[in-house]
Amino acid sequence: MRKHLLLALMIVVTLLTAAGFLFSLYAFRAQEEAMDSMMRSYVLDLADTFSPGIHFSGRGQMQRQRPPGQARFRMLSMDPALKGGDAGGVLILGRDGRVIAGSHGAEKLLFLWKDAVPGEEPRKVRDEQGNDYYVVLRELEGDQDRGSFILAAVSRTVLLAPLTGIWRFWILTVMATSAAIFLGMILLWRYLAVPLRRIAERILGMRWGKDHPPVLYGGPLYELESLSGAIGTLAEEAFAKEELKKRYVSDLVQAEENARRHLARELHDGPLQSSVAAIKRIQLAKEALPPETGELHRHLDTAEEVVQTAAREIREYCDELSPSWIRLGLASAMQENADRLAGAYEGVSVNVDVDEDLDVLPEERSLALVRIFQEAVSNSARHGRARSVRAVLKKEGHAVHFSIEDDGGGFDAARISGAEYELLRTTGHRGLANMNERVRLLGGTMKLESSPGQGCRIDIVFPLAREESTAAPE
Amino acid sequence: MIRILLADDHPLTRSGLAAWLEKEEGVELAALASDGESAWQSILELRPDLALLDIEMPGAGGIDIAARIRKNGLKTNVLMLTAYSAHQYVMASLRAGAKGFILKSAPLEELRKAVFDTARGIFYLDPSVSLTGADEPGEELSPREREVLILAGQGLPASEVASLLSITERTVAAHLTSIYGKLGARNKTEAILLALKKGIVLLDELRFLDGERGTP
Repeated sequence: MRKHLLLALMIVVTLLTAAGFLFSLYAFRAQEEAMDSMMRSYVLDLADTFSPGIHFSGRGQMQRQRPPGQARFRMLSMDPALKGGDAGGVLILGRDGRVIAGSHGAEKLLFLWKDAVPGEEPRKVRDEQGNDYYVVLRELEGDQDRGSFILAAVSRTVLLAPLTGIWRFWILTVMATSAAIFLGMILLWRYLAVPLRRIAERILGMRWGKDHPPVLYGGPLYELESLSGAIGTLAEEAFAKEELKKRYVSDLVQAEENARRHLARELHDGPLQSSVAAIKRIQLAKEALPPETGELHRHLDTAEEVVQTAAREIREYCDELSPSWIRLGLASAMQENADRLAGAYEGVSVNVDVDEDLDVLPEERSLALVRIFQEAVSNSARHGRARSVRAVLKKEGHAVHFSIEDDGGGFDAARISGAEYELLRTTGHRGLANMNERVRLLGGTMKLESSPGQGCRIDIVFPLAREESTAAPE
Repeated sequence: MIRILLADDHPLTRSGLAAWLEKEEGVELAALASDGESAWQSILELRPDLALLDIEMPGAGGIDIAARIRKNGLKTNVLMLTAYSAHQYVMASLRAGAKGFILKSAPLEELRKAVFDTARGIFYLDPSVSLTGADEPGEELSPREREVLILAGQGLPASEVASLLSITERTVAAHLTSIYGKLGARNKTEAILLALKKGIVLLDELRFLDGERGTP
């Protein structure tokens, strides 16, 4: 209901306007009729006043003898509103149309004679100037008047000029107001309500902080423009903030990876080589010793063992920090990774199938894939209790497809991939969040498919850099 | 007398190994190198019987040098040395043409065996490169399984192995599973190394196609 409230209000206003307009039209018509009947009775009255015939028939013989002079006198005392003849008058005409008597200026009305038809009802006649007259023509019935006519006419146009003006003005005002309100409603709908709805839709459709804001409004209204501008600024800020956060996270990931690599190299070149050298010297010393020095030999054995252990531990640390075998290329590195993971998770078979064309990937990106796979296998083994994990890395066109499948217990992926990966980080799904982060750093996308009892499948697609996709494998 | 070149960028390790080589009977330390390029120059000049190469050296590493030796058809055998144990190092070394692989921390007896074996062209693998089924006798592989294993050992992905043998990837996977079971291996690399150790597959079989693939 609230969604259509504005529209409903606008419809109500429009309907009320239409009702007002119709009522005004009705009132105008009623007024027209009232004026019409007023004019009719006026002209009849006029004709009655001057018509001796009425007197003959109405009041007996006395009046019949009244001479035309008396009528003339009456005409002179006629309604002052009619003086001058423009507004109307009375004429007494002979059979041949000769004017016997008339009110002041009534000769002007003579032109009405030719169209006039004798009768009791007034007729409406329009002259060449467009003035309306109400005309009554009566035949006089007195003896000496026989064959004469009395013609009474009033000009509606002249008499009612001020009133008609007011009415015309009124109706025009009403029409103009109605039209304005109607037009206003249309404009309001077209330029305010619709753009507002569109803005709201676009804001709702916006992935806040993920996309640059779309163009919210392109119309002429300053208010909407500044509103959408303000929202756009907010959205841009959210985007920038998100970018900053992402960059911060990728910086963190990269800094961590760099630190690990540095540390691994230091361990490899320093302590590990020294341990190895020490082992060699101990071995040489043992060989150089005469056979009878039993106690000394045992000390050297122990020393060698200790240093061997140290060397093994350092190797393991190196491997954990930043595996040196990553330099062998992606195919070998993934295979080594898989072998080590299979060793680390008892009873889980780990198989990888890597397109050798992908050996052109730089170490950084190979390492990211290795880490993603480590995370995935760890998830499959620990959460999914998978017996087998299988990965395929393929080059397809200018993109790399990396799919990881397990036969574990699975989970409701819709529940997890629907949520933001950032949220996962805080809800104990750090592994998935990390994987997603690494995929994002590769410039790719990750899709998770799983349902309880159906295992889990992860599909990762990321683009090759230009030099990677054109470089031919060795 | 076996003439040996030793290349290792780490001075302490290098001098330790050199000290042993100088003392050892039947071997002659022909040259020392501290990086890949100078090792390669010495090999070209002196044509030693055996090159003891560190995998990780500045510039060209041991694997690069081994590949160059094979490419140039030199008679010098290669024993790869590393402070670091990784199956893929072993595989990469063997594919590059190395005859053996040994950890720098290996006991002197193992080192001695490695040097004398590889100098004669016999495959040697450091026992500490962990292989689960190494001591079990194991079953015989079928000829098809051997083919699958050799192709996989050449580093071909399952899809390519499948297309070369005109079988499906699923069948390749099934063959591999059966091979793992027979050899007692946990994965492809172990299976290949175990097969090498047991003589089921010969080192040269792993390299043959690999070399052809290098020059298409």
